[in-house]
Amino acid sequence: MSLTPEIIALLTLDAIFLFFGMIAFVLASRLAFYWNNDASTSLQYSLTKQSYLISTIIKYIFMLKLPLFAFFIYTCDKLSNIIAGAMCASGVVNSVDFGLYLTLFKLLNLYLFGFWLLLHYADVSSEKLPFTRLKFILFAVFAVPLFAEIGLEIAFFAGLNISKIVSCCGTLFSAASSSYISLLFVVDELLWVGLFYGFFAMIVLAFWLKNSVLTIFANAMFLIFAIIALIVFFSPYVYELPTHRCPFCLLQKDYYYVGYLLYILLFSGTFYGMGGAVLSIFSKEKIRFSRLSLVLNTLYLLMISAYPMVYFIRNGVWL
Amino acid sequence: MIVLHEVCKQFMQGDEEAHALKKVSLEIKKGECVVLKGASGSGKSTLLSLIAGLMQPSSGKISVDGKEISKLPEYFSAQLRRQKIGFIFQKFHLIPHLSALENVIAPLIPENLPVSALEEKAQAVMEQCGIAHKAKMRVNRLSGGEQQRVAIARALVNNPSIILSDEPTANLDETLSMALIAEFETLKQQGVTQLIATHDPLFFELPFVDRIIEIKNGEIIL
Repeated sequence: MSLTPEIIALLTLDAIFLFFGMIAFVLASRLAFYWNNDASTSLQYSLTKQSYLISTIIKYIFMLKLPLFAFFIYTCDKLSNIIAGAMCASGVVNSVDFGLYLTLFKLLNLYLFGFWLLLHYADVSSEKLPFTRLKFILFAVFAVPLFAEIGLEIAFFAGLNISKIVSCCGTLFSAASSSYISLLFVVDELLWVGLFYGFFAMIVLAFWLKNSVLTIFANAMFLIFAIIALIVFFSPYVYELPTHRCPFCLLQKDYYYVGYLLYILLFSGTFYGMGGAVLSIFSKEKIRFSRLSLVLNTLYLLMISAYPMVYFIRNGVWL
Repeated sequence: MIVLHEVCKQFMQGDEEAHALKKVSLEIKKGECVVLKGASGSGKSTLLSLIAGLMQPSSGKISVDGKEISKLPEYFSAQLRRQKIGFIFQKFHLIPHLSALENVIAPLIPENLPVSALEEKAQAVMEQCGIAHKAKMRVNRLSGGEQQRVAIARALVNNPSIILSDEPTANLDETLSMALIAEFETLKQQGVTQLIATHDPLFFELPFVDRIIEIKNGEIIL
């Protein structure tokens, strides 16, 4: 294991999250079991007090986890300078067998943790605390991926071998890749692009119809196909290189860190879309954040679409 | 209307549990003026703090105007206090480095009114309480009686429908106490619900007081 300052910071935070997460898990499980907001017993009053403490612990763990995802990618990107063959975070992530799955797992957890924060916000915004029991049940469930992520992250950094030569992103994100990524290139890229724009149209339709289930589905599909379309179609226009399709190099200084902006727009847009719609199902109220989600998704779509358009206008050809 | 149903409050005193209130049930009707008498440590202040939502009971229910307040989260509890409840504390609890006017304005700040409107509202209440001439003075330079009147003005500035007073005459001489009692009578005529916790005998013979309740060792006995 190579201990750079970034890795030490991440591992220290993991240890803190694990410690407080365990305490919160035990107390949240008890609270989820005994909580009864209609009761006026001494047990209920003591649970009410405990719920403030546990919510605060969980809130800070999850709130810190969101920017730490970007910090994890930044750390991997920085490690690419000392790992032979790696040109960006992608090479470092793929240098460990489960690295890519860990990244995708972290991304999934971002949505889970973010949803918990939304639910917590909706809960404390109402004087009747309608979601207290649900949010602690959900924490008891989400604690499993939280602890699993911490365990995998520790294993990931422990498994990093700086003397091992790894593949660069040019190889990993191509038809020649030995991973499942190569399957993306079997299909005509225009199909992926069509699905990307198609699911955006579905998001607009869901917004117009105010349909929660359709909003969740459209946003989830838009997220998946936005990433695929970014890899197979849009990224070469960002890099202005026909064969370079890495979704990580966008985060580098050479490309003005544009990836951070793109990913923040995409992840927060789809998150608010799905989170707000799920919340509306639980609370039986109208969908929250739908306008914000649509604005963020539209900005992502306009921004990423601008790259091929500008390239075509300037050069008169498509890549 | 204020309703308490089997309210208990326990505190930890070292390793021992002290029972400040034991299954207290009480109903105070709208516009009623109730005096709560009892010796020091009998549970009067605890009862007032619970009704104001300043603390939560250990068990039991408290509702104000039909809304259960005993389990309200702090934000909503503060909101309720701002809208409905004025609290006159025994030790005033004024902010010492602010002027009398600024102390009276303090509960109005969350209302987001223009400064001129805040000052106008506060000034009017201070005149009603006979303390307007000291508006610009820092409260730590005022006498006990003057501080008490600032505290009363602060309690009234939101036009509360309920006034809770904790030993309001404890730091006043007899003349000032009589002036304060006259103020309570005016509030009674205005239909404000009042609960006055005191052991001052001046309050036990007042014609505008509807009921006197005695509390002893955390239990209501009258």
